[in-house]
Amino acid sequence: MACEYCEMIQGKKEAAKIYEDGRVVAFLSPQPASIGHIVVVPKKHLPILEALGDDDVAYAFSIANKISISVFEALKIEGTNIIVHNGVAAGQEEPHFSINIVPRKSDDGLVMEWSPSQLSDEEMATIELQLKEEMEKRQEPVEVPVEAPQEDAGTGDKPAEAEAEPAKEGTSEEKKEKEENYLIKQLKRMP
Amino acid sequence: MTEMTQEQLAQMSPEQIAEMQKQQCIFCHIISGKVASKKIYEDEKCLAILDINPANPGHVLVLPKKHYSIMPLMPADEIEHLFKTAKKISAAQIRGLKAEGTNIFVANGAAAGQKAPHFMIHIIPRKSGDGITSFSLPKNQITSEDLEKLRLAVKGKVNEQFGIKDKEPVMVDKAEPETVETEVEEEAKEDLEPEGEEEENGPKVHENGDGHESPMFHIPPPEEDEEEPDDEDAGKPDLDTISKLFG
Repeated sequence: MACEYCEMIQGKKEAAKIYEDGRVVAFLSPQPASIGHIVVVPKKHLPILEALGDDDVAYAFSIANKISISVFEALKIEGTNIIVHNGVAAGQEEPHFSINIVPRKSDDGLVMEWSPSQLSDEEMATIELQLKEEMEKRQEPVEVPVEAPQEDAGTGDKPAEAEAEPAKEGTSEEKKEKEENYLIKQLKRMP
Repeated sequence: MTEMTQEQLAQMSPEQIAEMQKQQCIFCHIISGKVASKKIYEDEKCLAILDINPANPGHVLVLPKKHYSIMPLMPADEIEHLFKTAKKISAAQIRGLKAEGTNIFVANGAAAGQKAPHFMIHIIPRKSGDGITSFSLPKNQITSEDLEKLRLAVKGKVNEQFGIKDKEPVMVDKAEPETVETEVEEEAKEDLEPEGEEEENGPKVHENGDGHESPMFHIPPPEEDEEEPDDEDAGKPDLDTISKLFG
C-alpha cells in the first residue's frame, strides 16, 4: 500500500507531527498553502468522509478545532480555513481522508472565494426537494420517530410525503451497507 | 454593527455583544424563521439550508442554531454534531445530486473569507470539470529547518491545549531546547501552565522514563518570523477579540 499519509502516520516517511493519539495524527503540511498549514488524518486508512463512522468524524473535527485554536495562539494569524477535499472531483490527492487547517492573514494572497452560480427558483426548488428527501432517508430512527409529529423541534415544514421515508430506511443494516458501498465506489477513483 | 467602533465594542459586556450580534445576524433571522430560506434539514441544534450564492448547485450551509461567530468559540458537542450533520449532507449530495465529490469548507475570521458573523459549514457538491478552483490549495516549498521551527512553536500550544505533558519523542532530539529562551515562552507559561515547577525558570529539559531527553515545552525559536518576543500579546490572542473582528 503506497499511501503517503499511512507512511507518515507509521513513521516510515518523515512527518512534522504536532499531535498524535490513538485515533488521529496531525502534522504540518510539507507543501503548505500558508505558514502553519496542518493536516489532520485518522490513523485508519479511510479514503473518504463517507467511509468514516460518525464518531470518527466528530472526533477528527473536534481535534481539528482544538488544533486550530492552538495555531491561533502559536502564530500571529487572523483566521483559519478548515477544508476537506472529498473525492478526486473535489481535489482530493491522497487516498486517505484528511482535514486541512490553513492559517490565514488578511494579506496572505490566498483567495478562496467563488463566483456564485445563478440558479432559477425552479432549479433551487428541485435541489431543495432532492436533498431533503435524501436527508430524510439518513435520519436515524432514534432521532426522528417514524410517526414524527409536525410539532417536533425542527420538523415543522417538512413535506407530507417525507413522513413515510424513515420507516423504510430504518429496516435493514444491509441497505445501509449497500449505500456505503455505492458512495465509496462513486468516490473511490483515486489518483 | 458596521457603525460600531472598536472602542464602543470594547465597552460592551460579552452578553451585550452576543445579543447585538444576534439581533443583527441574518442567519439568526433565518433560524428563527423571520427570513425565508430553503431548509433541507433541521434538528434541535442545527439548521441546513441551501446557499443562495452557491459555488455549485446544491451548495449547503450547516448552521448552529445558537449564535457563534467562529468555531473556536463553540462547545465540542456542538462542533461534533454539526460535522456529523455535514457528513450526512455530503452523502445526500453524492446520492441525491449525483455529485462526484464534496468540499467541506469553514472560514474562521474575516481574513479567512468569512462574510457573516455566524459560524457555518459549507458543503459543496463537486463534479469533475466543474471549474471550481476556490478550494485548491497552493503548494509552497518550505525547508525542513523552517518546518521544524514551526513544529516546535505549534506543538507547544497544542500541548497546552490538550493538556499534554510532553511525552512525544518524535524528532525532539533534533531541537536544541536548552539554548533557546524567549520572553514569549515565559509569558505563555505564566498564562497557561500554573501548576508547577517550571514556571520561573524558562525552558527546562525533562527526562522521560526511558531516559530520553525532551523539552517540557517546545520553544518557538528566537528568529522565527511569527513570534515577536517583544510583542506583549503575541502569545495569546484572545478569542473574544477575534470574534469581535466581525461586523
